[in-house]
Amino acid sequence: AVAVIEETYNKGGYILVVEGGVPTAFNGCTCWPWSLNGQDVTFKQAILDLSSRAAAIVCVGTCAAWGGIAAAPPNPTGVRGVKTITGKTTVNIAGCPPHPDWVVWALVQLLFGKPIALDSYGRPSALYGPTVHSTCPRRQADEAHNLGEDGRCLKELGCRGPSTAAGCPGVLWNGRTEWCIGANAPCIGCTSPTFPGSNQFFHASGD
Amino acid sequence: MTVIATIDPVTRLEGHLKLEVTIDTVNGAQQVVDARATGTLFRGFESILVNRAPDDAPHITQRICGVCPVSHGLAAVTALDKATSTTVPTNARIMRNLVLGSNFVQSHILHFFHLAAPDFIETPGIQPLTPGWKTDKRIDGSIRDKVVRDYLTALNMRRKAHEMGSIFGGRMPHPPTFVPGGLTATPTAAKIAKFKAYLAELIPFIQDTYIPDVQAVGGVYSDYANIGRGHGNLLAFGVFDLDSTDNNKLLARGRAQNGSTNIQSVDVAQIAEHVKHSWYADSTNGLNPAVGVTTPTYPKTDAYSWLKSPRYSGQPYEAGALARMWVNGDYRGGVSVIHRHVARALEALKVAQAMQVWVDQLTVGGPVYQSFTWPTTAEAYGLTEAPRGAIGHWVKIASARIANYQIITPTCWNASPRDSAGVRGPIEQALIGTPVQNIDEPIEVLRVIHSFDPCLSCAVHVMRPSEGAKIFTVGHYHGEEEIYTHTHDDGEVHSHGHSHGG
Ligand code: SF4
Repeated sequence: AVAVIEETYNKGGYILVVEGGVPTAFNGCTCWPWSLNGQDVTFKQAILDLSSRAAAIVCVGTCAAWGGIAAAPPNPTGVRGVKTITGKTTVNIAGCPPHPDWVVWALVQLLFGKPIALDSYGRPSALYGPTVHSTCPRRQADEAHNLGEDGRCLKELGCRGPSTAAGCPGVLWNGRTEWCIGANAPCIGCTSPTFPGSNQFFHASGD
Repeated sequence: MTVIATIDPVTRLEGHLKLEVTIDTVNGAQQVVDARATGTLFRGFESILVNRAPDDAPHITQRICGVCPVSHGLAAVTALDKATSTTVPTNARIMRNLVLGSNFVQSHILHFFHLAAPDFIETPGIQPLTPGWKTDKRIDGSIRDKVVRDYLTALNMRRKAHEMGSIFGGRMPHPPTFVPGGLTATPTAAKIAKFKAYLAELIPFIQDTYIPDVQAVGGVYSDYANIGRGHGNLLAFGVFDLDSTDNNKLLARGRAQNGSTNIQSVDVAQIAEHVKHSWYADSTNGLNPAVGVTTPTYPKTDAYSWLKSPRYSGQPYEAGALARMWVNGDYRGGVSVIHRHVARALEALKVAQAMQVWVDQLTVGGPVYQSFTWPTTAEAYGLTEAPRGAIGHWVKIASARIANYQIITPTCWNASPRDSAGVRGPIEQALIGTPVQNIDEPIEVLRVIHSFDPCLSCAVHVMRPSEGAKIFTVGHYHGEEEIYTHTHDDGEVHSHGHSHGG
């Protein structure tokens, strides 16, 4: 693995795809992805080195983009997003997990040399435009007052759909089998830069 | 002549693990004489949970791992249901089992075909399977071609198992439907029919392809029926509740010492986590997880891992499919590399067949959720199983917030470093005596590590003190290995470049 990475690094001009946020506490020593010449390499060092010769950087997941769950308070290992560490523009394919179609879409755009328009958080506008709420099929439905009720709008339980930009209602998940709200689980806002925050995701009952 | 080998990263596993192995010639046979396993990642999930609403625990803890999130979700809701003395509706118990069962099936298929099989068969020379090691790839043309074909079919089967899990999980991985009090999804006739249609494809694949392929590989590598035994202590927390009593499960709770068929009970009070060789404060050594503390301390003398060392009555125990099938009396062929693979394949079939029965026990229109109120203070634990072994969550609630949270993952049991008494962890011990044909390609070491299905990324250092230290850094990219060779002289490291394994 390391030889392939080294070879690619030497050539330069590659697409760097990063999974996971970058730990900075303990000098970055809470995460060593590999060692080189007998020396442990920290994830932070690896990202700094590899980003320097990359043609584009794609962050796969909310952690790589902004820190995500690993950076949730009290952020025990000082996790930061890749852009914060490198100072470079990153294409942020947000989500916890990100949808596979979104990842493939971004890579295909880059491989074909097509420009990707990004929103102010570095997410492709084409993927993270309207909110979940704006395309949700439950918009006209009665509101659920408890968990486990079929077909109802989950707003009163704390659904984050209204403040979350993602196309989940259209693409669905796992070969279009289901999606969170379709299974009566309120959106927890996993594509947002503020995810997960310290507030409770949702409540068991509403007013 | 002693050699210390380091493989870093050992890939085809999830997460970060490094392994340092000392190789020597004993009675004319070159073999592993010592091993040190290093967990190279710490994220502090336990601290992230403190002060959060208890409801958040299943969602946060599932993010520990994308391969076995469901087990974390189930351990969390099990602990929280106990904390509130809630009995979840039968529909919820069954749907939780179905989502977890789907995850077991996808994980076992992934493990054998995509993570472990490339240790035994020569893979096609295409990316990402290049460069590849050639040492001791004994499988001949026809079996090899079949396993390579099945490798591709298995990718599709794995996807189907994920889709099956998302029917009641809502999405895989990290199913959002797991909540304390039950499940948010409901069973409908259409979902039940869809679930059964997936099982109708997966069960024949397990029966006619997965199990025979494991047996074919096991037949060619019959010596691996006796390689990689380790301590022989087996621990299962048990999984797949068949009623609400917590003691009637498809796979029972229990443990066996040193390969015994005498199954003993599990008393969680006997579990303690040692940190003498881990980067955590020594003042927290030997604590039961109910009062556990996670205080990262780096650097620290004698420490070499971010994993703690869980021990039961002071003894290391191996967790996983073999432990479950052994405790339950379903498989007692032996404890070794091949027995771990066979037990895992047979378990996949057992779980898939049980799901066929459970899905018919769902009541369309029946309740899926039981409401409850959070107590001001409570303490509870939830024990279950991940595909790769016993998992436990311990939670303390104060003022309706999480006051303490401790997690023991299966890989903590299996890949743990030495304990306070200096006794090796299960993987470390299992490597002792492993024959090594070619120290430039220590494939045998990888076979032993992979048989545990560790949820980590891994490294092995090779040293020859008599010739100056020699370190091999070995990694493989999605399936194959390459080597860096470096020689230490007078403590200096000089790069001698690298050669590809293939
Ligand atoms: S369920 Fe959530 S996303 Fe859908 S309409 Fe209601 S609030 Fe909006």
